[in-house]
Amino acid sequence: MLERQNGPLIVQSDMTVLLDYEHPLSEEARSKLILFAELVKRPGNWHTYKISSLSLWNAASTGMDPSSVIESLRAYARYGMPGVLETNIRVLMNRYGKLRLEIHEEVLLLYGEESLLNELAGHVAIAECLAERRDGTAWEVSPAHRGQLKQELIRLGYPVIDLAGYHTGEALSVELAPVTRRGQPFGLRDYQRQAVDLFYKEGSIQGGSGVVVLPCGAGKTIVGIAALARLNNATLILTSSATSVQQWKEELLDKTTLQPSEVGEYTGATKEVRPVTIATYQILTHRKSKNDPFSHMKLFSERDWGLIIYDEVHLLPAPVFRMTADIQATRRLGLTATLVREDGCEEDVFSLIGPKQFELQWKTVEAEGHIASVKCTEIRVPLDQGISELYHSAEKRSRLRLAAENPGKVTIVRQLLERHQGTPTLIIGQYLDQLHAIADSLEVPVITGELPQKERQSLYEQFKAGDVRVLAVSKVANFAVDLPDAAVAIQISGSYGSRQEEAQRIGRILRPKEGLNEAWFYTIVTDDTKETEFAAKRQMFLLEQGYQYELERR
Amino acid sequence: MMLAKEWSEKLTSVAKQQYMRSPFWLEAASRKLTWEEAVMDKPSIQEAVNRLDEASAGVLRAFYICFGAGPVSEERLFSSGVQRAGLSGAEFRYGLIQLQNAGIVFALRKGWGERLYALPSDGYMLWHAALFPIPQLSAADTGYGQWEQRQEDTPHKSLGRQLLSVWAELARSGLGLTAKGTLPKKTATKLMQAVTITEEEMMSAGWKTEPEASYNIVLTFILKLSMHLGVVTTQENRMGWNEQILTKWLSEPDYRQEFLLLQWCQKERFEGKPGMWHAMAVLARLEPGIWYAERDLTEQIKRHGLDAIDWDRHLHSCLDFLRLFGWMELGRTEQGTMMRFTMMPLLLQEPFVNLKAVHEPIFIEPNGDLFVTPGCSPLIRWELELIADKKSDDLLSIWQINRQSAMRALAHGRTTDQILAFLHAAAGGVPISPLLESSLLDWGKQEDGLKAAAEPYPLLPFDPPADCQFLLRSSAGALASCELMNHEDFTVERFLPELDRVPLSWLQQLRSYHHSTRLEILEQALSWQAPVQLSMDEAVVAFVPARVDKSDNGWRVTGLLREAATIREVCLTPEMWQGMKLVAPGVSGFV
Repeated sequence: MLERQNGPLIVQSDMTVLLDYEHPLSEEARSKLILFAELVKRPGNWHTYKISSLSLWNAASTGMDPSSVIESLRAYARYGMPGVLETNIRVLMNRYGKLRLEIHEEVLLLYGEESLLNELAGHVAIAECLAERRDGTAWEVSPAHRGQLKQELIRLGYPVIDLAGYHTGEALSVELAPVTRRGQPFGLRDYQRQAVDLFYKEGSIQGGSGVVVLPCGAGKTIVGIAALARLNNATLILTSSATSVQQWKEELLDKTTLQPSEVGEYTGATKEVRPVTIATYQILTHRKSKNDPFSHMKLFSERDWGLIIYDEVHLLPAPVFRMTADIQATRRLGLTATLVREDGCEEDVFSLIGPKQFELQWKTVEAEGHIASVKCTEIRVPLDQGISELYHSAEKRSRLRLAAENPGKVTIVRQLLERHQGTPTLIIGQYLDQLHAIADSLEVPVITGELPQKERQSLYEQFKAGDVRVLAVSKVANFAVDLPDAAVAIQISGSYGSRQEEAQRIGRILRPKEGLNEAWFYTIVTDDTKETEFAAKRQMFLLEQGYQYELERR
Repeated sequence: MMLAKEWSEKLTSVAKQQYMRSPFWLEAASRKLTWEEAVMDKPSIQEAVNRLDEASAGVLRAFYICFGAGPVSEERLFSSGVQRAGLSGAEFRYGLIQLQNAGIVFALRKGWGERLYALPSDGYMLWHAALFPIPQLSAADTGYGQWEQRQEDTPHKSLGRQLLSVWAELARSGLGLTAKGTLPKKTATKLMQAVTITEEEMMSAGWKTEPEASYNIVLTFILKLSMHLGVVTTQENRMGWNEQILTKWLSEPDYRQEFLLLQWCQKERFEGKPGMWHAMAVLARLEPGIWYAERDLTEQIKRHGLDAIDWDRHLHSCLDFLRLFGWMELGRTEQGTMMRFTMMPLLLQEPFVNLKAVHEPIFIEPNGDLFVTPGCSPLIRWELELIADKKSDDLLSIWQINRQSAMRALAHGRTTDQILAFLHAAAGGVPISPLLESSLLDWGKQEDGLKAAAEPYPLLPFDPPADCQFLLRSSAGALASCELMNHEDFTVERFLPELDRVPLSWLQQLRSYHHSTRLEILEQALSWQAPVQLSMDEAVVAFVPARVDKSDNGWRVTGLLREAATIREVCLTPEMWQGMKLVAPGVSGFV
């Protein structure tokens, strides 16, 4: 409070940084801040960033030093810089580069200052990974322990620069197609090319492992595909759901020279191991009982993979981390929209997948027109007179469903469809009865889990072709294949508690649109009922993600 | 110890007017300042110190160094003070009288024949700076390579903020007492969680556990302070709020709260510890917000001869004390300890009456996050504590108003309208996000979530009256019951008995006397504890006789010889000086 200056940042001693987005220097400060801090939330004019050991090591991996971080904060800090934070930044960043893994005469060695190695070797978990001591500053490491050692060291607060390199893996000839199979011209966007360049680093041992952070809708899949095409190796792609597997496969076949025979699916239903194999995290972590081994983990060794892509790396389950620790000589690319993991395993991502190689902020992507500008609106409707009595006499646990299925919502859906007539629209619902009733009333087709896959695909095609303008979909749409032309989503009911569900649903309409590049995400909520409590959670999530959010009462 | 305002209450208006007639207050009086104003006014203090005669200045400096702000018994004052001042007893008493006549030092009667001397404790730092001028210390070089600030160097949340957190927790947890008249254990635990200070830190900063205390040392301190401020009262079987005093306290800007708390804490911690007063006064010269090297400060103090009374130990105790309550932070470099005030001495450099509170509005986000900048009114912080959940109390404090917090406030008597009106006003009139407003209205309707609560939260006026100033009492302790002595009690005649029977020539002329007369003059000086002037080898020096020894061959006198820059003990025989004059301080001019 003594050092007040007119800066846009408030730097807290707990390593949180608040950015006043209305400040004239906010953009300038933000461009500096994102180099060493992670955005946590941005519900309004104040954006919350967090500096952590990982964000600092990510910065250090790009060549930043503590002084430049401190100077950036000082230059824009409104109330000065807490001394303890300055110390923490120096201590943490100075640890980066203190330990290196390198191959010397075909032996994997951990290099570091003698005193540091002595101190670290005193920890049992570290000692387990170490073999023979070479001299004061080098310690032989068993290659099988490469990942485990990195994981344990980072837990003690010491990141390791892994320069031990990679094996090449099975060769695979693949190129990006200049024109997609559907006949659309195709090329990488500048930021996508930059992301791949930074990951690949001209094939050197400095590159080849790390994470690319792109907002939803910015084309993470394309970055993964381009990395695959750059390396020309057999690739294992791990993703979060079966529909996502489909999505990857479609994109691979659409935008590369790969043939269908070269792309395999490895899911609950299909077990194909091909030069490019797409698997789900679920199948890898499947086992018959709690004490059985994860039998599908053998996929990691079923081919000589040259690259493993971890899609939605923030969802990577713990057993896959353990497996990943054993394959540190294989190139690894993580793709995500956020480095923040709800389970707090960010350190494992850093040590086992690699440091952040590239990040692009949502605002940048939106400003350049690569994703649509989404307007979220919550529409409150009164509880239908017909069920009001039933609602108030119902058990508490039944009330939510009654409110969610409020027949009064139909009128609003109809009005919204009129408002956006001709615009591709999804009506998304949680309850099948409600969804069918609304679909019947509005005479629109419905896609639910009950519908055979073939018919589903057919409706998707019609929707993409513009023959069907409105689709009613159940939660299968959360992870469904891309619906590129949807510009309006109307949510009539939902679980509302899951951040992931909200992110997926809004992701359906983020693709760039022709014209003003706008999209609309409506949620219809029954006023003065239990549903508002649940709606508040999604409202909070979307606000904190930075979406424009409005409330309408009918 | 008592504050200037409390001394003022003890004084008659006639006495205060008389003080302002002292030559020390000439300039202040010409500016029509009252005694109460002048004694705390930095320029007036500097002018008064410039006008102090040598005896008064010597007495005051000795008082500050040896006794802090007092109180000290007359016996100790003279036994230690006279020596420290390098004055004769009569000079010392003369100087003391001058200071009493100007209302700078006060004498109080405690029981039969016992006198205590003290001065306004809140003026100590200001007077110290004028009495012991040293150049402004240069800021430390901040280009050091190995800068480090560990957790144990960081300042705690300021004491005012700690109090606010505890009171808010008390409001939330309830004020009921057990049959033993103490807070329930659960409540005490929660209150402790609201404080960041630990017992160990409290003890290492010099606080002692009270044997009969019902709570740990931190909570005992916080509750004692809360009671002293008058915010919390004890009633039968429960504690209670004095909402009027609470409003006054929370209406004070945070820097004034901290200043007042510092006054109280100094009294608690420094009474009878002059070394702490001295070190604190030296530290108070440092500019807030600037890093200084401890080594530079200590070197400067030693260079100016102000390192008396175990300087290093007292300095470190002061640093612990200041960090404990959030007023100072420390750092480490290859040059040693660094220190920086966060806010405290601001008020010692500017008369705080001129510092108008500028309250910054809070920022309200649509998701219910409430951002509170350092300049926000404590009154706003109080209400936020009651209606929202605190997420962070760092430089920027963050609360979040959510369903749970709003329901809690509603259950304790707040209404949705009150909450909305408060938020609107706290944000400086900026409209609240319609989303948040809608959420608040929703929560207000969710009556099934409301549980009837016994104790409504105190509801304080958001915009208190302008004259709503908090007056700190010092808990004056022993002094409160003492009778202030009139300055008429201190006349020259009282300490120079039989002045009129002394030959005028002894007092007025520096001349040669017969050895027997020389002895008579010295015996008179001894009885008054007064000095004599001696001409020795064409130089005139002051000599304070301590004793006369007679022998068969004549007599000799032992005492302190004051030369230009030194005082030394000498033993003189009558033929060793040529002329002499008896000095009656305040009568015969020379001291």
